[in-house]
Amino acid sequence: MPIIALDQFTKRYGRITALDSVSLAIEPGVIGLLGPNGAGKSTLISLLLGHTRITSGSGTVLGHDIGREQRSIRQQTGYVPESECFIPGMSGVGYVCYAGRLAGMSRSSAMQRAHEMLDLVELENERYRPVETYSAGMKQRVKLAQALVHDPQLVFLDEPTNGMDPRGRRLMLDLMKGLGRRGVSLLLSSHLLPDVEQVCESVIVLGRGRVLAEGLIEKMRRPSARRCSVRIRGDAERFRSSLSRVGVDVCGEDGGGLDLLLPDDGRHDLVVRAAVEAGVQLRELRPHRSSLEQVFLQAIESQQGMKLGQSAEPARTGA
Amino acid sequence: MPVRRRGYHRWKGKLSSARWTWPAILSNGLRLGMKQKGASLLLWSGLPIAVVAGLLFYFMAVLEKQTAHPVQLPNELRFILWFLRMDRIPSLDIGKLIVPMWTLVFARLFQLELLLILLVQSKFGANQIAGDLRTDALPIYFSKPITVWTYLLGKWLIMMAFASAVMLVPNLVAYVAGVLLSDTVTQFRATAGLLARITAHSLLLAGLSSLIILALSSLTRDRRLVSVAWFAIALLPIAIQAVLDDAVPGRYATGLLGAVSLQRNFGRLTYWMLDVDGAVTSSGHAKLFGSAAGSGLYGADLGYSVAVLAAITAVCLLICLKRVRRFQVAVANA
Repeated sequence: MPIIALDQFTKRYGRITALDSVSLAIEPGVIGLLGPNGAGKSTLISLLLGHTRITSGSGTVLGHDIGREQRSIRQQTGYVPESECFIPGMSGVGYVCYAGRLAGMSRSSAMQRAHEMLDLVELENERYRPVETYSAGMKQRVKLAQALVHDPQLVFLDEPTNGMDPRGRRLMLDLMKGLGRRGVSLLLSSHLLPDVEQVCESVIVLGRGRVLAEGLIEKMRRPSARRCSVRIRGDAERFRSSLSRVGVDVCGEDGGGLDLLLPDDGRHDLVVRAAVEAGVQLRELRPHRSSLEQVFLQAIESQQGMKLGQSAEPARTGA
Repeated sequence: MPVRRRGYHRWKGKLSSARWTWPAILSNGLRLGMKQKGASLLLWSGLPIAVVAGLLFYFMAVLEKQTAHPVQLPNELRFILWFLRMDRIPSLDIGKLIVPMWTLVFARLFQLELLLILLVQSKFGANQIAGDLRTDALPIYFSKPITVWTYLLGKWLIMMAFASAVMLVPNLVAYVAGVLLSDTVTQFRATAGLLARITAHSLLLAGLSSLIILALSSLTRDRRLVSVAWFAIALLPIAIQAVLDDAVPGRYATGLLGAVSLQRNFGRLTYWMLDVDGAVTSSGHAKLFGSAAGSGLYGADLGYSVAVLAAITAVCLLICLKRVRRFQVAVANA
């Protein structure tokens, strides 16, 4: 059963369409939400939490209707907002305990769990300090602790590694991976693609309120049948000329190797023929695998390249 | 084993109904409020007033016992006349005057307590919503299963509790002290209705002032601005009125400012809620209280005051709802 199911989900602010007929079925797991600024990521999260009302369409989160069962959704989800979000005058443990009580926990349970969550995010030695005196990284971690205190099934994270030093960032990513292993689903909105690539199993790419691509990262980055990477030993210029003669284009250079675009799927024999003709030694020939950044950029560029009036069908890659 | 080595583990407890999250907001707000410097001092400041009222009731009880032999009021007790705004002390059955005198004492107490409310609401209320706006705490609140109404109810009850500490509590202490210091059973029978009235009126004033400060607090992120606005709304019309009374004799300016003055409207409400006119008239000695009541001065504009206060309540509620809901649009637009 999908944790989030959206059907023609639309949100408009006056004449601006923030989300345009988004239909999705997100399975449990750690999911990345990617998109440039203004793509609709934060709007989507605020709609899923019931902060704003949808203009049209319908959807469910954890089986609860988004339009009518917002409180049930919020009771079973956690949220790590992008902004600092603290309550002045409260210590770390007081803040997390308060979040638990707001979620409906008893005082004793909330306090016990708050201590455990602060241990988990490695703030055990700072738990009695006022939250406003925390560093940026510590604030991000205490926000994660307050989101987890009531043991939600799904956590929305909005740019959770913003402003963190490398150690704090690694800790945060490890925590997210650990949560995923323990069966907590995460929807991670981030601009930092390496973070998403490291933590998430699948991604959704949004652009101008539409889903541009979605699916498992592994499948999105699947080897291309028409692209390959080669490394040679010998005269590179002669090799390039030979490639050109046999109809293979050079797309770019990558750390001493070449990225090639074949004229047809699987015609690696053309590369071998060009190497023989040029008299160079072929040291490596492997299918090209796109990085998540390339997948993301291709999705955004393909949308920008489209003319107005054309429909944008999302690229679906596994699920 | 430390939790972080064990990793995240699931919690098996049960969450209570989402409708009952306001007590958490209330208790947290009270705890944070009491952490402020001078909080206890301010909240205890209502008790000296209650002690003074208790003493007044005691002196009245002493006078009542002497009604068979009317005596001149000793000089050291003449402040009672000033406090009750009575023209002269009656040399007749004071027992019949106990209810109007108690009523007048409480009416005067409310006037003093309104000044305390000003300080209390400014100290504890200015930061209630402004602080949450300044530190972006609202997304945390509304990621939990609470509604805008629950949030506002919690915040309002925090302010109600603080306001009641300087209004309801001193009044109740004064009442209990008065009853205990006099002929307990008779006094309680005579003034039981008054007890209900002072309780209801204390809660009404505390509730209204709490709503106003919350509305002001939701308009800005700066608590100092909230305090300035609060004092301006409460005191400026009175100050201007005093100046105009000197400069432009006549009732037009005075009446206009009196109509919009929070203090004046609260004052009218007090006289109506405590039924000062009724208590004085039923004593059969209304002229004794000539300058204080019975003149219809306060009762005349009651309908207007109720309308003004009802309008203020509605506007404040709308402001609170609108401002707190506005954050959601801001979140979505971020």
